[in-house]
Amino acid sequence: MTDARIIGGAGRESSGLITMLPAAIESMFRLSWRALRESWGLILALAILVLIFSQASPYFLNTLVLERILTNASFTLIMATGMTLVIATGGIDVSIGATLALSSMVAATLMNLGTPVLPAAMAGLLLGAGIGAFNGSIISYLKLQPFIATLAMLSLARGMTLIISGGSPAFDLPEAFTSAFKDEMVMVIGLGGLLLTMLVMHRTRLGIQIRGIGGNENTCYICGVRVNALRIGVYAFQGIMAVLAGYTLTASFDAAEPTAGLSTEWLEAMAAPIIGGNTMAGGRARLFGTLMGCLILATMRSGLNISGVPTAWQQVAIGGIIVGAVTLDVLTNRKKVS
Amino acid sequence: MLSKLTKTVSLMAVAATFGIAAPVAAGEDRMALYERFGEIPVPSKEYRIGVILKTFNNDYFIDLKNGFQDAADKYGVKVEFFAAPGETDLLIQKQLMEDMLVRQFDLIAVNPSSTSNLLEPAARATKMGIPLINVNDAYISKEDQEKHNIDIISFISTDWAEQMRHHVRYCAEKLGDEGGQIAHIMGFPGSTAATQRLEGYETELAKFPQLESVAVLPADWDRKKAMDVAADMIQANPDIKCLSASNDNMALGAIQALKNAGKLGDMIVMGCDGIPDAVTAIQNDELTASVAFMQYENGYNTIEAAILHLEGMGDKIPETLFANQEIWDKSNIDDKIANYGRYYSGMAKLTN
Repeated sequence: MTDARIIGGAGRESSGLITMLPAAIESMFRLSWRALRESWGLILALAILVLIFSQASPYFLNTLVLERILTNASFTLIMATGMTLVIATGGIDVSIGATLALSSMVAATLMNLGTPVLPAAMAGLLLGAGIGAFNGSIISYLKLQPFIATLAMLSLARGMTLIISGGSPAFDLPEAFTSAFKDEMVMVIGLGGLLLTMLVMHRTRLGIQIRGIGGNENTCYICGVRVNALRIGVYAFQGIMAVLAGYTLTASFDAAEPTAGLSTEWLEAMAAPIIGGNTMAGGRARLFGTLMGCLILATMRSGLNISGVPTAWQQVAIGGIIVGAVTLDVLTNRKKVS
Repeated sequence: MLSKLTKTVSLMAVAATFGIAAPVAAGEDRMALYERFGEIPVPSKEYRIGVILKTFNNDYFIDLKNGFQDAADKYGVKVEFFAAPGETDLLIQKQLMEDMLVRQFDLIAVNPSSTSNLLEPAARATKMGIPLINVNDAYISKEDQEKHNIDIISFISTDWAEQMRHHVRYCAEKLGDEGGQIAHIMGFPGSTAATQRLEGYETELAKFPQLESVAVLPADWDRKKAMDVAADMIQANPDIKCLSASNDNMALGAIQALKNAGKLGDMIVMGCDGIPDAVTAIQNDELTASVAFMQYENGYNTIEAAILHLEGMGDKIPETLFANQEIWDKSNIDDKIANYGRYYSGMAKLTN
């Protein structure tokens, strides 16, 4: 994919995007067809999971469970969408959990201090974008390993969260904020973010360039792609998605928790793209695969919960699935090469 | 006559605050202590009770679980346990409880990891007509219950503040009229237990003018940090006579600092929780005392309260119910080791 279309460099994306819009529906149709061809194995895996769990527990086939799975998957999807792009550039961001906690805490604290909802929420989003941009900058200009750069950010943001909050949650948040990020809004944000990102990634030059960075950074640079700027943008986007996920979590708890994001949510945000067939080497952005990864993880969690399997075993199962997905990926790639 | 009456009443009150646990002869059935509600009716059917805890991965929760299980076996009800992998897994615990709701339990006992993470599923449970009991902290506050339409029958837990009141009183008793300097090593600032324990320490201290609090410093429940904090404390206040640590781990850290300074044995060091290491330290004359509390009892009481509620006798259940607390020191530690294996899994490990 990273062919001659990259040549010509950046700078005309905005006009390109607008002319894209009328053709969006047709694009979506073609995209879905391609996604189905790429990810039929994942769809099959999901179907098998549903079948197993419906046999294992009489309570599994239930509208309440379906609603829970969709909501939980959407929550992971918000972060995983951003992560897919980061992975496509050949990077990783382990600081999402901490970014999520810090920005939510800042927004909630501002609201409790009397700041109106909109400016407070914007401040959180800006902070998230700033954290992401900072990550991207030190990776680009200081040539730090993405893992190390974001690990440092994890510690930094988590510490700041504890300092700001004094260790206790910020509660009593305005109704206008919680209702904007609650219940079905989680699905709206998750799916909306995914669809927009899919359009950009698969139908614009920008998307090709982002994947190009992961494919071959030097070639991209020689072809005139503004590699560093794009990478910073991708990390900033990931930061914004982490903040949005944090807001939905804050809304559902009706409080900003200093320990939010410490749980396995950040791990699942990285696991979902990998299960979905995105390689850590970069150069590939299978967003539909990421969606399936989120659904598989959420189905598995709910299914195991309902079947009464202890949560420790669920972590073992998730680890197993990641190893399985990566192995499959490696094997299929090897076949293609040989 | 009247003064005699008030004296008796105040004596009873003192006895009550000092922990109702009377000394029990070896071999006696301690279960009699736990029957807080008197006669429990025979359940009219085999109720299914769901319990969601923070985690299983420490002794504290195992003891709680044993209490649930023993009571459930005694009364013939079924109890199923759920728990997140760790205490900070707020989201996993929330999702777990949401998934529990479809399993049609007659009652759910919740031990939330934070004050807020289970609000949403708890509100849903109330909407579905499933009664809830809040076991241990975190506590879903009255305001949150009202705001989110959550009905909680009872809060069955431990009085954190009371534990540090025990510390202050123990110290006052040991130091006598002369009194002296006392310092407190607190847990992670912001956590319920740390905050309430500090509050208990401060309020009780106001009653004893002969005790002078010279330092209150946090060591985040951590043994190593407590060692550093305690070293600083005795450096700055060489006349300190009493160290009150918010948990046993930190008390053991403080003991290490005293050892390093060659001051071990010069002062009273108190911990809290009664963990196995602390019991050994009491036996070895290193730790002066630990305030232990019956985690087991909270589980046991919850099952009894659940049966009462489900049998329509909910008026017998108080809004809050605290577990017994005891001071363990050199004078009684051998008796506790011999008799408490069932209630403290850590203790069982010591005797084996």
